[in-house]
Amino acid sequence: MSVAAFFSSAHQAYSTAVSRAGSETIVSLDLAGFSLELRFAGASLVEEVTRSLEHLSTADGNGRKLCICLWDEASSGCQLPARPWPLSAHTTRGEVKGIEDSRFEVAYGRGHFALNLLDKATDRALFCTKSAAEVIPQAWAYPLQTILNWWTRDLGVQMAHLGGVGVDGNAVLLAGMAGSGKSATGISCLLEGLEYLGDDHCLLRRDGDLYAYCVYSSGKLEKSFIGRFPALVPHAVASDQRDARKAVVYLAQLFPGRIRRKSRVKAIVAPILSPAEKTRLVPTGLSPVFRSLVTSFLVQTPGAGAAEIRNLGYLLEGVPSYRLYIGGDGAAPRRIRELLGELI
Amino acid sequence: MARWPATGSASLVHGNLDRGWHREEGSETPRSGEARVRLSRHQTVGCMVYHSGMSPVYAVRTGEVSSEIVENEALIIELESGNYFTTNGLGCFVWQMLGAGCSVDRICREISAATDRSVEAVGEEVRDFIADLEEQGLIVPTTTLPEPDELGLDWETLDAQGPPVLEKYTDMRELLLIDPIHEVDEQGWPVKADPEAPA
Repeated sequence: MSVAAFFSSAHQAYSTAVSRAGSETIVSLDLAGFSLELRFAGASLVEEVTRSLEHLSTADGNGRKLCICLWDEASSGCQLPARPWPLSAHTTRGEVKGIEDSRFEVAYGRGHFALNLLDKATDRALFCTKSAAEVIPQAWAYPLQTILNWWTRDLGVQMAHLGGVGVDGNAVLLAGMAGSGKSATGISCLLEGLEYLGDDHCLLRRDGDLYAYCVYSSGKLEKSFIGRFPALVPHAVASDQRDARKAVVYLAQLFPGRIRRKSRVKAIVAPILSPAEKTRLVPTGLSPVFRSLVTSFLVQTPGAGAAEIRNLGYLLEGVPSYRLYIGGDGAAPRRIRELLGELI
Repeated sequence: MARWPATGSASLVHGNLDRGWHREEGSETPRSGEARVRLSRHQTVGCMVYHSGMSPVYAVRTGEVSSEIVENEALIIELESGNYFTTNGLGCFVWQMLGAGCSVDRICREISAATDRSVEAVGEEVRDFIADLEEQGLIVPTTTLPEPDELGLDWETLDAQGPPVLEKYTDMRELLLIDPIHEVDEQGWPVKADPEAPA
C-alpha cells in the first residue's frame, strides 16, 4: 500500500468515527494569518486539543487553510488501517524511514504518541491517538506541533523552541533547554503584567522586522515548582502518571488580556538559574543561544532538519542576544521590562 | 535584503565571534546536564581515503547531518543520534569548504594563502580535523562533487588562532532518549518507555 492509499484509508477511518459519534465538531482558528480548521469525530479530543489554542479562535484567517481531522481509536472504536511500512521503520525521533513520496509527511509525535500525517498537496492532515486517556497532560499543552511545523515551514513562517514575553507589542524571545527557567520566566512576567506569547513554542516570520506569533497560550511548570506561583496552583492540570513531571496551566482562560497573538521581536534572552546572584542581563553572541534553541527543537520535532535550521538562521540573524542570570530576588520581569524600554 | 531561504540554499550569518565558548579547555563550566568533549587528534591521520593521484573529497552526510553557520561558528547536528558539534575559527572555514565540494588539497591551499603559513604546516592540522569529522560520521568520502570555482568566503572574519577543533555535545542525545519512539506494538503504535526502567 502506498502512503497515498494509506492516507485515504486513514481518512476513511476518520469518517467512520464521525458516523459512529453521530456528529462532527469543527473549530476554526487563525494562526499567523493562516486558517486552521480542526475537525473532530464527535466531542472526543476537542477539549484536550483546543484549550491551549483558544486564543486563536477568532476565525478571521484569510490566508491558506489547513484542515486537520482528529480522533482517537479507543473512544471511537475506529482503528487506523495496517501501516504500509515495516515496524522497524520508526526512528527514535518519531519519523518513519523509507517513505519516498515527498507529497506526504508521516511521523509519530513525541509526547502524544499520535500518528501525524500531512498531505502537502491538498493541505489536509490527520491526527490519531491510540488512546487519549494515556496521553500525559503536559503533551496537550502543545498539541499538533509536528503537523504545524511541517505545514508552516514552507510558507515563510517557522516554528521555534522559544517562549516570548513583551510590552505593547514588542517582545523578547526566551531561549533555553528544558530546565533552564524559560517557562518560569515567562509565567513570572505574565503575572507581573507583561504580555505573553508562550513558554515553549512560537512562530517566527520576517516582514521587514521579525515578528513572533503565539501558538500555545499554555504554560508548563515542574509539579514540584508550581507552588512558587500560588495564584496558579488551583488551576494547574497535573497527572499522577509516572512520566508526567509537569503541570499545565491554561493561561488564556485566566489572563485573556495578557495573551499577545503577535509581537515585534526586539531581543533573545536565555535564562540561567543563578539563585545566589542578583538578577542581571549580560549581552552575549547569538551563537550559543542559537545552538540551544536549534538543537533542542530539532531533537524533539519529528521530520525537522536542514530546512528548519536554515530558516531559523535567516530569521534570527542580527537579533540582539542576552543571558539572563535569574537570582533569588524575583527581578527577572523588571529586568526584561527595562531591556524592552531600552530597545524600543 | 535577505529572502526566505530556498530549499537547498546555503545561509551564512556573519557577525562578531562569540568567544565565550572557546576558552582553553577546562576554563568553562558546562551547563547543567551538558556533556561536552573537545576532540583532538595529534599523531594519526585517521581513516582518510586517498585516490590514486587525486586529493580526497568528502561530502556532508545529507539527510542525517544538518548545519548552519552563525557568527563564524559552525553548528553541526547529527539527527539520528542527537549528538551535535561546533567548530569555529579555521574549523568553520574547513567545514564550509568541505560542504562546497573542495578537495583536501584545495582546502589546505586556501588556508595557506589566507594565513601566510606553509601548505605543509596547514595540511597536518586540516587532515587531523577532517579525520575527526569522518570518525564522527559527519562526512563521507566521495568522488562525485564538482570542484567549485569561487568560494565566497570572507577570510577577514577569521579572528581565532590555533588549529581547527571539533567540539562534541551529547546532552541532546540524553533528551532524545527520554521519550524515544522506537519500540512499537503489533498494530504499529509506539510503546511508551517505562520512566523507571533502568537505562
